[in-house]
Amino acid sequence: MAKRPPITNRVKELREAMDQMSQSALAKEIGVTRQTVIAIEQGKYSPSLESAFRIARVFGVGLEDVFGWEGD
Amino acid sequence: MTFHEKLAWVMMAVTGLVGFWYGQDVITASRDIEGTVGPDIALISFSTIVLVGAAIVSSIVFAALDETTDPGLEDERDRAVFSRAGNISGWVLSVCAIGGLWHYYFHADGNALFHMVVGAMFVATIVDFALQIAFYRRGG
Repeated sequence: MAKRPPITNRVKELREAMDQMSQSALAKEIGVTRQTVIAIEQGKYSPSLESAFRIARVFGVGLEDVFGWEGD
Repeated sequence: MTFHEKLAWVMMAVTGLVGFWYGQDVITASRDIEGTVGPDIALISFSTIVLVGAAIVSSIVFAALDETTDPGLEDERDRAVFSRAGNISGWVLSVCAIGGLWHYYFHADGNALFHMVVGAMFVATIVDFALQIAFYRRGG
């Protein structure tokens, strides 16, 4: 079993808080597939810095409001 | 399951079947002549047509079945998966091809070298698809 990246995120929480935004809509906004959004939300995949910024900008928050380091 | 993962499953199966069929054909023909049969362009061409055809047909079918997925979209996770799988399968191809060269060095059998290189391509392709699936399953 692969070790999960030590990066946590609140993507699902923020997405649902934004009028129940769908995974497909978020994927389209940041230019990735819906499966990649699913993998990010499940903590299986850490997005690139560019995608992380795109996600934060979609939600109108800072990068650290979306992503964190496990244990912090 | 992503469009690319579905395609990898199908292409891994088709490549495995075509590779097995190619190997069986070469082994049977070699037994008949009690040596190593020479390269058969018709066999190679037919295998190539089957593989390309399978890739095209399965791409069309998967794209038609899932209208929400853009088959042309290749995002950062796809590129990372392809890059890592391609890197490892490249090593597999090299190691198998070097095995073929060593076989040629000791046996001076050019026909066997040809079939071993073709076999190496089948093995490397299967490994590539298998790794793509594994990386997608793991997350990316």
